[in-house]
Amino acid sequence: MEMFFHGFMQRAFQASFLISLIAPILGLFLILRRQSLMADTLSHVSLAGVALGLLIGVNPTFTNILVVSVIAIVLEYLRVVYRTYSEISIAILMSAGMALALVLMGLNDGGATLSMNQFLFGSIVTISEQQVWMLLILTIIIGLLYLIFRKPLYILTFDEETAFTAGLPIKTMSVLFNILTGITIAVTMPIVGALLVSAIIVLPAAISMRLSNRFNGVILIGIVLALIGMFSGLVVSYKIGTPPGASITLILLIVFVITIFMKKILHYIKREKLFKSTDMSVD
Amino acid sequence: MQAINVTNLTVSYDRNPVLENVSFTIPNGSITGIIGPNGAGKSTLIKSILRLIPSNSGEVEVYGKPYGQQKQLIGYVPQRSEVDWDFPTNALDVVLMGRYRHIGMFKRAGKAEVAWAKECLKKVGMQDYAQRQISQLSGGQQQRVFLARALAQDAMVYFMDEPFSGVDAATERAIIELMKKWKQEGKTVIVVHHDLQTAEDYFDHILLLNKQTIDFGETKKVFTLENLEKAYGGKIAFLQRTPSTAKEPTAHGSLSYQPE
Repeated sequence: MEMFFHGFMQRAFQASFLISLIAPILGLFLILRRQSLMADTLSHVSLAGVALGLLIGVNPTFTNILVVSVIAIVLEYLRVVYRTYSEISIAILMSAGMALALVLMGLNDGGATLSMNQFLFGSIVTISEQQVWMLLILTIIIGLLYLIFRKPLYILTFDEETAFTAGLPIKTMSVLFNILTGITIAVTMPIVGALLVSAIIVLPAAISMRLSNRFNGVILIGIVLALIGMFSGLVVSYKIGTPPGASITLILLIVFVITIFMKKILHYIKREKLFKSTDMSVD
Repeated sequence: MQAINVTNLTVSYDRNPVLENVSFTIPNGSITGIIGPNGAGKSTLIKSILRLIPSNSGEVEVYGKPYGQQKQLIGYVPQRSEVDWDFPTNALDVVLMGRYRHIGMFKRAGKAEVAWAKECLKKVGMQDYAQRQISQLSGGQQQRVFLARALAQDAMVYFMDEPFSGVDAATERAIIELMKKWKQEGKTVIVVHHDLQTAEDYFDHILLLNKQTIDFGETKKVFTLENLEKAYGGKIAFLQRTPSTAKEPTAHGSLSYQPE
């Protein structure tokens, strides 16, 4: 219980709670839009944003938001240009982001390396009150946008061509969605780390897609799973000193394996029941 | 009254021309089949008319006005394979997507809209599958959900991309009945189709295409051996109609295209 008395742990739990609310919404749309790797790309790019902030002495989160938003727009452009090979844009921008981050870090003197490590692997000790507030504002914005744009984004994701012929502003919505994903990553990565932020966004939705076939069902179950993963990950991280991002990801992966296993067992039980009932009817 | 007027439409992918100077005028209240060999640019034609693919040049008019001003009159039924059928949604929700233009972007579907969507499902014989997850539907049932969505759109001009491919006989009949119903209501239907055996029965107008317009007009006039040889480059074989499929004798028996 004593961990809840630490200010940094309170902030970590607050931040995790907020991330758990937004991750499954973004994650589900990313998966359905075949962009689950986009979060990875943007997290690599956001390293460059952080490195830029550290180099010029501006709050890295702000430079990060700026850089990631620009790249999110470029991503949409590349997605249209390489329509049939949309993963090319991911490959190009992922390496470009990493290379730029490394070069910018090289230009900086040694002091930035420690901060960079924190952004790569995440740290719960350093979550500031300002970050929690930013996350809260972001959660409210995403929540509101989700309520407003849920239906058009849903139509767009299911069938982009028909959405276009029906007059939906598909380009604007796609770009807006990419930018929101970028900003979420920029705000979340100091906590969970650039290398694993995409896993935390995509995994809860990926697991809950196997548990529900209704859109809202997937999101609600995703939120519950994200809360379980984030909270237990934080506890583990505090107790045994493991990096928070990695702990959360591993717990979510364990949940994933358990889900598959349970589904298989349920399927088996159902089949057995069916066999038994047909046997009885034959008798 | 002309429903669609296409003038000199040219489309190319990476400088390779896919459609060259295609022009035709589709009369209102007709069912037109776009026929041609693989790679003739059939799907590209309707996609470029709908501006899903950029065109190099050309004009498209709908009821005498530029396409951009008449978008709300258009309904589109894409190929079944272009959509993710594992998407977490049910048949009723897919049909409701067709009502978006009527409901408005930010409003929820009311009781009347849901009732209308259910009515559309009923018209294609899918009323019992409203709550069924779409991945659990057969190919024909999925196509019928698409038809119900098109019905829900309540458009004046429908573009359908290969609606008959991979569907069962019941769905095929449902599609034909729906097309005829639309025609009776004075609506216009344009269908990309690849099966020469059925083209004569399904369409009153045919656009024979192979990168360029080979011919366009009433089926009887266009569907000739000479024209088909022009479109398919001589890869046309004569087939005798089997008694079960023959409805009435035709001048040229039945034709089939044999791809290499």
